[in-house]
Amino acid sequence: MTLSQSLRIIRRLVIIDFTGALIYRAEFVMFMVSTILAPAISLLVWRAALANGASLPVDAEYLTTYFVLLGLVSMLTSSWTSSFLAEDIRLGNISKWIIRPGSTHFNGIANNLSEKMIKSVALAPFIAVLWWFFRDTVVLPSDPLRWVLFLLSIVAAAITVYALDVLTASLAFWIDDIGGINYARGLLAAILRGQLLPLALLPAWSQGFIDIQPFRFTLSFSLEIVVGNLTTQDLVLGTTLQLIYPVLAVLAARALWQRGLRAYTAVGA
Amino acid sequence: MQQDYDATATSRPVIAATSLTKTYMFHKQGSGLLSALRGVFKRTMETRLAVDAIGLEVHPGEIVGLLGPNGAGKTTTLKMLSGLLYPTSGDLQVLGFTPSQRDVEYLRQIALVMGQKSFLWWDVPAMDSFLLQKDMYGLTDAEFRTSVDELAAMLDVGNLLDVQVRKTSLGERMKLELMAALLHRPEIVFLDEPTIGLDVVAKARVRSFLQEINRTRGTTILITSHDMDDIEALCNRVVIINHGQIEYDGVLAELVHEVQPGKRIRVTWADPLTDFTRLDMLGIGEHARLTEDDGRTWNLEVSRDRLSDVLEALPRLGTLIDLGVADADVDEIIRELFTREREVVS
Repeated sequence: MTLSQSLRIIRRLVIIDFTGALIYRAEFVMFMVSTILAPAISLLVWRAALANGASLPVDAEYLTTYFVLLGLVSMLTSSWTSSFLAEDIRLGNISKWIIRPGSTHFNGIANNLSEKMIKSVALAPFIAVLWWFFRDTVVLPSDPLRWVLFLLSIVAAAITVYALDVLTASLAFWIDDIGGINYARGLLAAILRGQLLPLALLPAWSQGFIDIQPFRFTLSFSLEIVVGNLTTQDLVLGTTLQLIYPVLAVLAARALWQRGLRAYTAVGA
Repeated sequence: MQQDYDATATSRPVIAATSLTKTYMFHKQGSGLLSALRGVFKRTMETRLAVDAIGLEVHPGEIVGLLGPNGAGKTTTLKMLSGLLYPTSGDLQVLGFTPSQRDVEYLRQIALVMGQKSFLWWDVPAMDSFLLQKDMYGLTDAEFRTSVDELAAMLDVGNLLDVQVRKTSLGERMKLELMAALLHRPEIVFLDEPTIGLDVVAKARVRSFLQEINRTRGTTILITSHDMDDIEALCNRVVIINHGQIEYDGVLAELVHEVQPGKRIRVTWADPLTDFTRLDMLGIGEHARLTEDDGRTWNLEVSRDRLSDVLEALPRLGTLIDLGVADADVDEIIRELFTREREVVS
């Protein structure tokens, strides 16, 4: 199948998903509140700690800018495909993709894109309010190169996370319930990608490992590009890893998926 | 049992399977908490032979019914033929392709419809799913429009194309599923229980539609169904699978002839008649078996070669007000076939 055919199918799926997603308005309101609430609370807690004299390796500007952007970047680099895809494998629902000239991953990618489009629009006013509220301590770089790297980093991170989702979901070809694996991965990722707190706040002894581990490049590094004071050397090394991890993740996901298809039993058909 | 099917001599097969085999591995789990705990530390894996070295050839334009009891291997066979499953061993070519490789050119020439699985998006109108099919199969606007108009007319669903799929009835949805599957004019259609859950009217519509596309487009159809009316209406060739092996492959009429099931006679008496021993007194008791009665109406199963004797004797038992003679249902014939097989084994 050619690239243009694939893109046409994804475009059509985006339209279908977009149409379907707009039906569930209440879900979006809940999503907006939950996405913005956690970083907002974290921000208030850490600012209170600083105000009470806590000694942190980052200042108030870093923390504020980090948490204000966290909701948006976290949403853009997230993927929710794993549990749905695993369920589709378990129940035999991927059959409809396997015997048609398309791919279930077109569907996953389209769903990811369409929901992110809608959620970005829905989230924007909440981010703007948060921004306005803490506008005195939000500091952003003026260098356009940083913003270009920021956007590229978000795309690469989103690809990595999606590929990791497919990788995890592929285990459902052999394991009935991957809920536990997803939970463990989510917990690990929440800490190691900088979702719960900036990685700069983790113990100094762990920083060598933290800097190169893959989860950093699924969220934190994107934020660090615009929030932190990364040196040119840090940026080059980070960007290199940011580009390597999605390639590795896609190759691993593809290999496991192909192997899984051989074990697929198309249950329920 | 193997019967020759005449149509096979005239063309190259579109499906050719040799020694096609599929085994499943599964974890055996006993019931109860203790077994569950034991399973945490030690698992017993078992292998189940679902399809056992079957050979099959299907030629262009045939409608072939795959029949058999639950767990016989017919759906697994259909899944391998369509490319959903990798065979464990054996050779399989469909339209010159190896189905499990799922070559795009192969996928463009087939369709699979599963009665228990929806291929449509439920939250949007069916037309949105059809437009996706158009992009997947690379149909031009003209091809798409022609196909939509033709199929919508044949299935009488023109008024449903812009209705959210979740708001359609089961019968309407199945018609839309068939329409989606056939928009790209596939060479072969695999149907797994396409009429399951449908009412009589919807079933009849689906059957006549399938006959029509087979007749007008020359589409080859492979169908599994537990509804013997589907098989009788559609298939001139049936393949009966049991325990993963082909028990019979041939013309449906030949199967009926071979099994030679008794004729069914339905008799309605003017007055209730309960003395069945009179059948024996007339000398026909050993040739006629009463399968059901409510006093006034008897259902009899009668040997074909003694049918005239029984029909002649019946009026002597009482006053008849109605009499009907029919052949056995296909499902009875198949049941008979399996019963004979068990008797031979034992």
